[in-house]
Amino acid sequence: MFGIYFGEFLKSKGIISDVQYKDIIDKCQNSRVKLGLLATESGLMSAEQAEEVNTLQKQLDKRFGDIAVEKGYLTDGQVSFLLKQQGDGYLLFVQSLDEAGIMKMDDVQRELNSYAAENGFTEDDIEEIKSSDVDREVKVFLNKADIEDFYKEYIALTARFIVRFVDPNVRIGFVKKVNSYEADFMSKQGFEGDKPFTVSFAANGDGKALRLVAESLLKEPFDTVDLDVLDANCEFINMNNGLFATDQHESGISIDMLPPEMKETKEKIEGNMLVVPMYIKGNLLELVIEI
Amino acid sequence: MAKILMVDDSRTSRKILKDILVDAGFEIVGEAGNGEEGYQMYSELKPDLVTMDITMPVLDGISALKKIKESYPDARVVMVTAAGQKSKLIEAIQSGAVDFISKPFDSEKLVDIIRKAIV
Ligand SMILES: [Mg+2]
Repeated sequence: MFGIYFGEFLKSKGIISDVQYKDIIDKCQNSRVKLGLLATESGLMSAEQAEEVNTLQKQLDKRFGDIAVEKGYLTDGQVSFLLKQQGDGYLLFVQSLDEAGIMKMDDVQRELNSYAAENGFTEDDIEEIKSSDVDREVKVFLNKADIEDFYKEYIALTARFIVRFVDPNVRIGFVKKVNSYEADFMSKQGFEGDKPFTVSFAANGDGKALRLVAESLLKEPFDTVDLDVLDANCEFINMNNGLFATDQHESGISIDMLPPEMKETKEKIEGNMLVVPMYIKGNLLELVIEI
Repeated sequence: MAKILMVDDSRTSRKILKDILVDAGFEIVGEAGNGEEGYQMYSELKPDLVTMDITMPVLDGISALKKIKESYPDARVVMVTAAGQKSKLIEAIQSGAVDFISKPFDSEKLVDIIRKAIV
């Protein structure tokens, strides 16, 4: 979801507070874009016309679209087009910023430009992130990394699996290449066969992200990271890896899973690795791929 | 009531499977964490059915299946797999597994398969 990406950026710049961020994300999840904003954003109505219809709407018990058609600002076809656009993640986010009195459209555009510049995103990249489609979002980040398609496929599959089971709004970060890595907790599983590699879910501190993964499978809350939590993460990785192995099998690459391992205490690993930050409900989970 | 022995190294997987099977009226008589333990428990418990994970430490599910079938040719074993272990599944069926269930579990399908495997 776009708001998760852009909102994090605004938070990092001190433009919105953590509380405002959470409020806005909540709102985005619970509401839809107003038709007036959609109409002005798409250039079908002027801001003044939208304002006028909004005012009328408060006075009359009528829908925005019906009033706009009566006024001759929109056609029926345009209204149904706009209705289809409702639910647009980007506009929801901007609308919430506006309603909370934090930023106006112009300010949003300026910050969006600096978000793009700082991350090296093109206009197309921003459109992809605005899509709120996890596959398209993830691709933007993966395409900035100089890594084999094989691992890109693995990362994209894992993001989809997390979306499906744990957090529909998972956020990914830029892939890092490292030679040594350390974490408080790790659940890992290796592949053997044509293209062996090992993957871990890792986290530090309270390990909230790992606990959320475990909760999604076991349907019970966990206060700390214990062996049950790590086992559940291994099982989660195992199921994800099974899907990946199937996909690869179809393209002629034969790989199979090894028994998983759990690391309950801080451990350092060395070698060629990719570290992919994934934020599950805002909590950092690092996907570590030993290649 | 049909007696089932579960063999899986993941306690998460065992818990999820157990909940579904108990709900459906089956009795879980034992849980083993690897293939070797599974073989030992089979010998002691003689369950009506075994659910056997494939990827496990010490002794994997296929080897455990073969070992059980060698000593007890009438044993009924259903393999439990994460998707993507097709070649291993073929080997399992050839070695005498009755059927297989895939993770993530679809409860209805799973119970249906287990019922048919016991008869
Ligand atoms: Mg296993």
